[in-house]
Parts: sequence; structure tokens; C-alpha cells
Amino acid sequence: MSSKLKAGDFAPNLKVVNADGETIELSSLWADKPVVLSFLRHFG
Amino acid sequence: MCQAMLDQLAQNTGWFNERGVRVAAVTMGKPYEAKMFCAQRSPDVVCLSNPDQSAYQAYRIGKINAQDVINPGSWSAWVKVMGRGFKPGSPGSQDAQQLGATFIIGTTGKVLLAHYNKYMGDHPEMKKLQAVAEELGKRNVVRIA
Repeated sequence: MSSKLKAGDFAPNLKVVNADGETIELSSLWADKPVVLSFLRHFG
Repeated sequence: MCQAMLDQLAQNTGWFNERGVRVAAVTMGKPYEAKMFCAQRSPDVVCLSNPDQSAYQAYRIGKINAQDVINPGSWSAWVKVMGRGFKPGSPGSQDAQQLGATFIIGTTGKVLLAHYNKYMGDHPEMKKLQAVAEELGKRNVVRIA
């Protein structure tokens, strides 16, 4: 795993799918307001 | 374990939203699974689906290794979560070794806070997330004034 992101780094922008099945860019989450973005482990 | 983090976010989503901060969760589930999971636990959190884990890789989030299994912190977190009534379930088709992480990202796209979970059950302290959000709220007030 390459070096971790830290404060001041640009957050990677890539496409993910929302819960309605629509493809969105992650950057749309922080375009108008800051975001707490949490990557979860499995559902179990 | 994932349930515990999502519940923690769900309990605080209103607080963040009041300060102009969105709350979003990336899951490894398929869209319909993510929809069901989040609807049950946190309807106000923006829930996203990333089954190929490309976003996890782009954000450089690691996986559990053998040392993590014997890490006392991992077992301590496990006991705490169980004590709060959570029953860790099966990962199903999802990657059981994938760790989590939490970031706060500003409107410029820059990371303001990064927390990489060190072991299963490790989560960022909500107070730390809230401190960053409070600071952002103050800046917004200054900008408006």
C-alpha cells in the first residue's frame, strides 16, 4: 500500500454508484459543502 | 463492526448537517445492498456502493494482516462493540480483510482530516471529526460576514 493520504493532500476523485444505482463522481460530494467521507468495512 | 461506525455517523449526521457538512459512507455492497443497509441504520447518510473496492484502493486503505488478529486493540474494540449489543455478522461476499477509514474533505477537494483504521473495530473519535466541522463552521461564518 503506497503512502496514506494526509491533511493537505487532494482527495482522489473517481466514480462510484449511489444507493439508487446512479454513477456519481466523489467530487460531487464536496463540490458545495465539506463532507465526512467514511469507508466502511463489510456489512457484517 | 461496520454497523457500529455507521450508527455512530447516523447519530451525528444532524449535528454535521447543521454545520453545513455532508455525511457520506462508502460500502463494498452492491447498490441494492447499500440501499437496504443504510435505510435500516442511517437514512440521512449519503450511502455509496463500491463493490470493486477501487475507491478503497485510491484512498490507500489497507487490509487486515495476521498481526491485526492478535492486536489487543482489535479485541478490545470487539468487546466494546459486543457490549453495546452489536453482533458481528458474516461478511458474505464482501472482503472481510478490508479495513475502513474516514476523511473530512473541504470544498477545494483537499483532505482536512484522515483517519485510517488500524485494526478491526478501530474508528475515529467523533470529537475529532466534530472539532474539524466546528472550525469549518466558524470559517463559513467569517466568509459570510
